[in-house]
Amino acid sequence: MNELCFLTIAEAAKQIAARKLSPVDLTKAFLDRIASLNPQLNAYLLVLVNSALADAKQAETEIAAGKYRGPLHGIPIALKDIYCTKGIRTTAHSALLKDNIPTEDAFTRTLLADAGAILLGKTATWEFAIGGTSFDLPWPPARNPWNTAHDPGGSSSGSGAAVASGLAMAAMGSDTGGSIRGPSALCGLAGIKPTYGLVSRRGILPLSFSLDHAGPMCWTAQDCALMMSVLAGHDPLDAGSANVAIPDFASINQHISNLRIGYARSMTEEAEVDSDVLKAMQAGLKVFESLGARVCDVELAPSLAFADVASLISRSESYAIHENDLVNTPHLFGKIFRQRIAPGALVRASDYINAMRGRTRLVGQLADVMKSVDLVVMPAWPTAASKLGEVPGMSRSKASFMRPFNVTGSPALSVCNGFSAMGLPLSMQIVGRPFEDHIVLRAGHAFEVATSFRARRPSLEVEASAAA
Amino acid sequence: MTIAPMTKTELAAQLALQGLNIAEDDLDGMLSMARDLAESARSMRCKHEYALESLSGFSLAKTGGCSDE
Repeated sequence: MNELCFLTIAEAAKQIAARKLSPVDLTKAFLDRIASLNPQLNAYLLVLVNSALADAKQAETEIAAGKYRGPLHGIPIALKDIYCTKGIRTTAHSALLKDNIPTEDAFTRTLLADAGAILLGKTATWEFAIGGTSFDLPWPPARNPWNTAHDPGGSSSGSGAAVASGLAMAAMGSDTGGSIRGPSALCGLAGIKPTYGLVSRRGILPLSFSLDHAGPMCWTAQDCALMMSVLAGHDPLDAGSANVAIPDFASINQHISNLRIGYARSMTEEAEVDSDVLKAMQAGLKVFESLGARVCDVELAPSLAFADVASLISRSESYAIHENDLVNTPHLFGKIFRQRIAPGALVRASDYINAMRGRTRLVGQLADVMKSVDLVVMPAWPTAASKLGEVPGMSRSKASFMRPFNVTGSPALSVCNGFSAMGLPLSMQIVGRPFEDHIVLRAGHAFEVATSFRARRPSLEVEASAAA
Repeated sequence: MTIAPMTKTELAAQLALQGLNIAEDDLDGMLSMARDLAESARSMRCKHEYALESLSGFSLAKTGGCSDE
């Protein structure tokens, strides 16, 4: 049954459409695997056994009647537990919302349900998508399936752990400073932070209004494209939603020999990056060259410029969201959350406005760079996964390869580009121009097809039987 | 934040003015965060030039908030 759980969406969808694979059998396989492995991974906070099976039966009946809805019909997925689900507990992994039952679905939840996807459950997150790997919350933190002593990254930690370990074919994450791409990198997935405004955030518990993005985390870039073809679109009830033409996600199979790819060498080399990450990055550039792409170096603004802008904006906006609860019920938050959010109270309005002006400058600078290249690449994360709870804290001086593209709103994809000596995944980030998410995914797909990294999965079964 | 808090006592006092009653145990991690934010704010002020910049972050033309038509 585990083979079913390691199919990609693209593979499973073909079999489901041809009625060679039953959505009920597929969903049961995932539910069985979740029952077996979730106790050691803590990827799910809530598993929806009955509704998942009922939805799978409905999908099977519809498909048998010739009413196939498309590639997500009958595909088991998960949602980060900040996506509101009508009538289903949505906690943000926080004591503050431990009994919260939303009365509305997130818009993206509706889109996925309408496409026929089967919701397996709600996945662990850092508290309100920022609280870090915490041990003082009502549920334990998720663990990395490649080595359960290690951290899956965050904040979409459970989504990353679930997809990597075959506990969901795809999962939704959110990304304010790297929270889709970070866990995707550390769990060896493909995860895309779409262009700001391309995917609705309505019904997703916010962290920072102008930096929040919603997007999919999958095993492959091709699966991300399948998810994005359902998720992308204008939502007039999300003030940040863009009313633009939807990128052509079906075009990701096209060759990349016409693409110009810029390597953010100076940003990479200024950071403290592990040697195996640098080696994987250099090898990845050669793969792109072998596929016919032209690779050159590009220079982006210093990481610190992005960090200053991002932290002032995110802390101000986050504090505005959580002020009332921090003042009145601080004890209902975990310690790391309080430490990260409360200082936002001290940022002045003029500091916030100056940060927004700085943001405009950075957006313009990146746009100038991307006149000469189609994509920019760099490592997604400077190291392999740290030990659980030892992920470096947020600090001004700690360079982030991800935060810059929350500031600019650019589409950015993490793809696995190797493994460390300890067998932990390494990752590369591919960044594109606004609303050229399909080109980012095309490059990611070409890279995955040209390399063998998608053939390797965590060996949790060994660990499970050893524990038994 | 005009001046970065230098001590936990200063930080606690600044936060108390905002209605936040912070436990002693929380202040260590908060102090470095508050200093970082103050430094970021100072850096933004240093970069400021009286250029013809518009405030970013909200565009009616591209969002659903208002039709182009």
